Amino acid sequence: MKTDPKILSSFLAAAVWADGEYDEFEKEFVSDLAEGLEVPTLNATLEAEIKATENMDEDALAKYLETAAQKVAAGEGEGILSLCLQLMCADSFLAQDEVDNFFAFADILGVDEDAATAILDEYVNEEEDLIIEE
Amino acid sequence: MALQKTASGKVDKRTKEYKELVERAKKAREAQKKAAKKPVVKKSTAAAKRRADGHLDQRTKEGKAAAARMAKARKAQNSLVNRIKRLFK
Repeated sequence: MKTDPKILSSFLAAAVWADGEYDEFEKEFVSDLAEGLEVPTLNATLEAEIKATENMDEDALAKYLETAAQKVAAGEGEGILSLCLQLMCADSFLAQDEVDNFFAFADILGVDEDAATAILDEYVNEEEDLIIEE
Repeated sequence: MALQKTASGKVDKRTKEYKELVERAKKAREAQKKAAKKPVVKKSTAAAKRRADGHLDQRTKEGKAAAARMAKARKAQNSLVNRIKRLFK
């Protein structure tokens, strides 16, 4: 991955804010992610980003992500979008606000809606234990 | 709880609920685009909100068990690492 972990963390922090809680399963996912990406500082970077965005309102958060998106390495938008989705679903629950944010992230990252839908469909299909909000 | 089940008893993600979730998100996005508004990133500081209005509590025993199974499968199948390789090749 060529994108700076801080930029990835900005999006992951916004993913955490969709349900407002960085729970044990999300932390475990980030730990696995840090290992997979070989970025041992990822959890600390993410916690710093969560703190940095804590008092932002929704407009400010969107602007913050738009600025971050400009620094995403070419061709890595879909990957970052997919990681945000996996983080949002780490608690086994996919909520309406999380789906709304998923498509907002796609827009900000310049990922086409059809491509984003394909990422969501594929993930939901693969994760048999995922609980869908009614 | 009105979650639909597959024959195997697993929650069927291709159910009406999932499709409706995506449709609602897309309609909201369309409305934003028509109004020429910038993307809206929702932010919650009240994780309990959706539980209070009758939605499934993902922190119930069932939700926690499901999350634990997902984490276990992720590690056992190395699925996250495989996804990372595929996403950032």
